[in-house]
Amino acid sequence: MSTSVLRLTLAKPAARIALVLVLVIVALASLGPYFSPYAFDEVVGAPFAPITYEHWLGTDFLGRDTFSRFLYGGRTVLVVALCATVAAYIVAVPLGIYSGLRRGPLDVLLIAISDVIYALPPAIFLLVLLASTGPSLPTVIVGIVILHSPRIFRIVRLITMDISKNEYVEAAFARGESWTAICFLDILPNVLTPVLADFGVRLCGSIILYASLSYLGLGLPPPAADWGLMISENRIGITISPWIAIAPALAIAAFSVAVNVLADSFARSVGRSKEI
Amino acid sequence: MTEAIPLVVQSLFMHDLNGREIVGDVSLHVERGEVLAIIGESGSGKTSVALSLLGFARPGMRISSGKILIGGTDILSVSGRQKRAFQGGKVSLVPQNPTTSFSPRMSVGKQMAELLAAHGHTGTGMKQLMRQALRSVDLPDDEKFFRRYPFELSGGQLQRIAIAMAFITSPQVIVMDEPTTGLDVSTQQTILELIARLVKSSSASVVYVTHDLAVVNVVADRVAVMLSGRIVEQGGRKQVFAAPSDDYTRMLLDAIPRLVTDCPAAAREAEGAIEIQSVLEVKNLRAAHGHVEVVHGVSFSVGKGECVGLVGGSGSGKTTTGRCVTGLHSNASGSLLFQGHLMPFAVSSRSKADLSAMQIVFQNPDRSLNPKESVAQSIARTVRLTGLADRAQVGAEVRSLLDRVRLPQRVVDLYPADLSGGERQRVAVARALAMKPKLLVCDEITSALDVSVQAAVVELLLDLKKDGLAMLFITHNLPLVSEIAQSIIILKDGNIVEAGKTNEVLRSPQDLYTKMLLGAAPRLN
Repeated sequence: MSTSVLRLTLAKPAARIALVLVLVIVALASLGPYFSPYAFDEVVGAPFAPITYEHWLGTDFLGRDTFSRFLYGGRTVLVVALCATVAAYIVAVPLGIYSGLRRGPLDVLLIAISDVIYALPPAIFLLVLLASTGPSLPTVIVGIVILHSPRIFRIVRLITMDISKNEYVEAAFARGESWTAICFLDILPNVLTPVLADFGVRLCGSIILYASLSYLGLGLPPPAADWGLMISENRIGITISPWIAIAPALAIAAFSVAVNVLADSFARSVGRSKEI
Repeated sequence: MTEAIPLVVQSLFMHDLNGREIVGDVSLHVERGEVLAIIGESGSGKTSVALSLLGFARPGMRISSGKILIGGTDILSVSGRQKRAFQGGKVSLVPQNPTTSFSPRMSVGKQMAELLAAHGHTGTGMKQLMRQALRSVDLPDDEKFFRRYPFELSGGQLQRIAIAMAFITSPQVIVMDEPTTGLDVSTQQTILELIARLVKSSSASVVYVTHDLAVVNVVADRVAVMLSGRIVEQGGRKQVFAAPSDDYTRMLLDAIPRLVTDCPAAAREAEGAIEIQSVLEVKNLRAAHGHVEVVHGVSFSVGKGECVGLVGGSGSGKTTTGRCVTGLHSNASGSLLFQGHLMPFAVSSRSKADLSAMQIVFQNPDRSLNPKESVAQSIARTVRLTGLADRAQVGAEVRSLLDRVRLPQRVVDLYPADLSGGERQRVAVARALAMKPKLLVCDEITSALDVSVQAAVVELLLDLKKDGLAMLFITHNLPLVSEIAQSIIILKDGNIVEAGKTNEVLRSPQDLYTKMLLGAAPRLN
């Protein structure tokens, strides 16, 4: 990765704003708990109290400080989404390269498996998975990995097949290079760039999946603070204090859009830079 | 009042977005029924000039000043609907690559109709024009042909349609951007004849852009030579070719391979050594793509220090033969005898020693180098395969290989994208040489290169041959083969139609196909 790709990625103001947004939200989610005025589970007043100087976002349905809960609630969604997405890549990239390069019966089997997973509606699959094993964060991560990896696998496989048609790969085979050398030196570096451009979209998908699960009560159990959960547990008071739901919803939406804009900008700049 | 000259370009300047000059002070004019050839190597700005004649600049480029008068009107001063009426109406383009210039999802009839509809033709009159246009390029004009899709037609047929579409609106000026570059020699010849005929009958003014001087000799009345964005020489074809006034033109003319029929110097030197030791013996090679056999029993041998030219048009099976030899195409039968022992077809079942003793260099240098590896990395990696592990030794070997292909040491840390086509091809050769091969298979290695670069690569190969390297040189270019190969094999539809010593075959060809190839190769004299 060279500096010029980074420079191209951030050339447009929209991309720079997106980067700032991403950094702010990540900072909020990771450092927020250290600055929160109250504990996330501390009852500090009447339920659905309005915004005051003490309580910047009022209180929630149990009378806990919403702002403190907001600062605590981002951590899980970002960590789960990031872990799930990275894990999905770790699973799918090697399989995709193997399939694209060697083909054969394992390729056919992997394609069949990925077809089956493609056919599952994501939300229902996760609900069934969590209902049958009991909700827990590792299970959520596994579920998201299962949903994401076939999609990544397909992309990597196709790119690999495309790259392996290149004559530098043929020349490598013709001079007797090992499979490992060809995979790591010829295929992987060339697969990585387009795959990285796709990363942002996948990360967004994970965030939205986890937020939905958390909204349905399948994320962290109460009384923990979690953005998706906050929206759902306060929905009865949404007409009295809409900001309780708006703050986490806005944070999730802003993060998703910003990550997408960045990924898109990165994908565009990759083709334009010579070095990469 | 006399009629205005159809095309006049007055001091045209073009810049890219960084303000770098791409085209500088280009002035030219073309009379009615005249063909002006713009000659130049890649990057000379010739295509930019050609596209500007349609009032168009490639993305990242703009026309900064100048006038382009088509029939007296400056195309750069008009815009919108009026400009579109010019484009395709008064000035039209025959693009370089016929296979990518047609929409794959639309029948050719529809695409022709679309063009005519855009210029106000409708109904039966339009149909008639379309039929007439197809007849004029010797294609069938029935409904069935109109319903064909681009993928159902050959490159030559598509280029004919593109030419028909360029002439169909009877434009004053036709721009042809390397229209025969992607075609093989025999198709090229018929297309060139077709163009000459159409120009005569329509009296349009033609700007013909090409890097191939031999083609220019066939089609052009006048010639403009371009070098880094400027015209260095302009004049009548005969005069420019006979007495070039510019050094660059002279260099270009000298770099073209000529058909050497009387005892090539290279052949004489090595003549004695050939019979001694055969490196590769191919017996009754048959190869198929799927179930379709494309090579039907080909036998030949390559001796130490010998260069064998494998010549044929597209689809003759020459590339497949080369790939069988190097183990990249294993759907084959017959026998390969390499350095005296039998060798299997698949790369995976060949021994390490066999694999390193035979190397291949491909046609397209853009695709034969890993874009993520620097020159040093890609050569060093190959050097290490030979068993050399010590860092300093590998480095020294890389440097000596670069010397051998005459690349400057400064390229070691560059990436393929930073190199020119010729430099990339030399890196590919250096990488092949790193394995210390006994046999080098060269698959059209010069056809993607400019003539001057081509000459340098050929010189390099001649040098390597002197060192005892055996070569299988696959090409469609007869003059090139005559410069480098001692023996020649002519392939047609997967069969050898003629084989023998290069100068004998070329001096007195026995087979009709060989005679046709020889006749079709455009020549300078």
